[in-house]
Amino acid sequence: MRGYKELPIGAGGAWFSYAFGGGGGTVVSTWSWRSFRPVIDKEKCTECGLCELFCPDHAIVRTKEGYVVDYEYCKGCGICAHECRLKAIEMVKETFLEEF
Amino acid sequence: MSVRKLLSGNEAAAYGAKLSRVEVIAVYPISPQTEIANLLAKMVYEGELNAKYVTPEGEHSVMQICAGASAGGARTFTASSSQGMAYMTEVLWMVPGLRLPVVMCVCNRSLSFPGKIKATHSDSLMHRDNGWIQLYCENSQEVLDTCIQAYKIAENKDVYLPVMFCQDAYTVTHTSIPVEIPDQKMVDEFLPPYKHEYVYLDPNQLQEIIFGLEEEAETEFRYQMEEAMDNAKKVIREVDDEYGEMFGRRYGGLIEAYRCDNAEAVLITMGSITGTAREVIDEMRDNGKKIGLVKLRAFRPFPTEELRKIAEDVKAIGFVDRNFSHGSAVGGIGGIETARALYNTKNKPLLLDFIIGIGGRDVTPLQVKYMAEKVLQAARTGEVEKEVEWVQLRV
Repeated sequence: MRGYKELPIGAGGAWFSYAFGGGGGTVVSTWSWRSFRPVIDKEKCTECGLCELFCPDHAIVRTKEGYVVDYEYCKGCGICAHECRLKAIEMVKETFLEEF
Repeated sequence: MSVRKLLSGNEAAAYGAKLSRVEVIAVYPISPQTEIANLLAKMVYEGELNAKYVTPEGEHSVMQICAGASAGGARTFTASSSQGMAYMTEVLWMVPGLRLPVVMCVCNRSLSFPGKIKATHSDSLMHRDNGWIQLYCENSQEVLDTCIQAYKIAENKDVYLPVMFCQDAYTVTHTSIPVEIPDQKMVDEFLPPYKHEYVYLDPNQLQEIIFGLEEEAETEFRYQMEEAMDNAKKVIREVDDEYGEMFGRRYGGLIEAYRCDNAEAVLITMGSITGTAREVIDEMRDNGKKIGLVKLRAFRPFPTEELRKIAEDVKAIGFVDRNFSHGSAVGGIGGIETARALYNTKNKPLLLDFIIGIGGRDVTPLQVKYMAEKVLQAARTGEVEKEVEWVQLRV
């Protein structure tokens, strides 16, 4: 545990979540909150962008290879899978849960 | 060249923001603050001020935008009052925690119900625990000067806390007095551009501010803020001195002691009541009464050291509270804080508390004189007749 002198000034330094590898600050990952992970089926996906719009944590972004989930920050809420009109996103149980 | 103009407190706040070269302004109008929003909008529209002017749907969003802009490296300004600030409360706690130097002008107004739109200090004082620095201004000139000072205090790297500077509804916000507007070049020299050393939210990156810490470290983060508040005391004094040297106007740092030499008793005031009290104290002093006046300029950080020093020499202190705390230990918020500040000192003076000016009711010279006489009486007899007195109460 770090003392108050070692901690970055202000909770601010620790509270910024840098989706997709932004610089600076202390990165707080939120992947461990997840028990299911969204997996996008590239065959079914038409890149409509609904999942990106609905993701409450900006954990889905558009890349040249289509939509990609940032598993460092995805909390596994499943909203993307619920909203996808083509059922192209499947919520798959995390394997790390079984490792314990 | 500095210019002299007839300015109300609201206009002075807008000019203060303009001179500080604010970059993002987010406001939602509310009486008695609306004039600030109007004037800044006009300045931006006419190209006098190069800033982004945002009009969100409510004060909660206003403070969110201020937080985001400040974290993104922009000097940020807002103004609010009463119900608006109450609506902002959630985010008002967030901003000091994120250590963002947002500056807000508060036009002190009563809270509903049964408050209407005139001055009571409760709207800002109820935010005294969350880490905002609070400065109270006596008149339009002080509003303008304090606005510029506020950025210098907030953006100091040993402080990095938001500042609210407060003015009384109508008695200051809508009362015009001749105000000296300092030269822009000199203000630029006094106040360098804003850059945060620790926090930076890149506007070109997809980023968000989230809840949750890796470790449960709220104790440590709160202690950092406690240290920052302590540093702020020194910084407020230094900034006021520096400002005085450059612009010729000083406000005494955290408090101003007015005619306190050899005083047996003092009255402590905040905000516009101070102006009236000065006249009364002058008259009483000239008639040989040993009474002094202390203007509490900073409520947060609380000027404990300064008040302890004053308490060494006086026999009684009267706190003039333009606020109330229903069911409190004894009296108004200022009185409670003063009592705690002096509790462990030797030979502590007697303490009287006066609740006055609630809902903007005019505080007359006669009423100030009444309070001063009461404090002098306590100093003379060594007894407190009434610990708390609602001076203007109609019975």
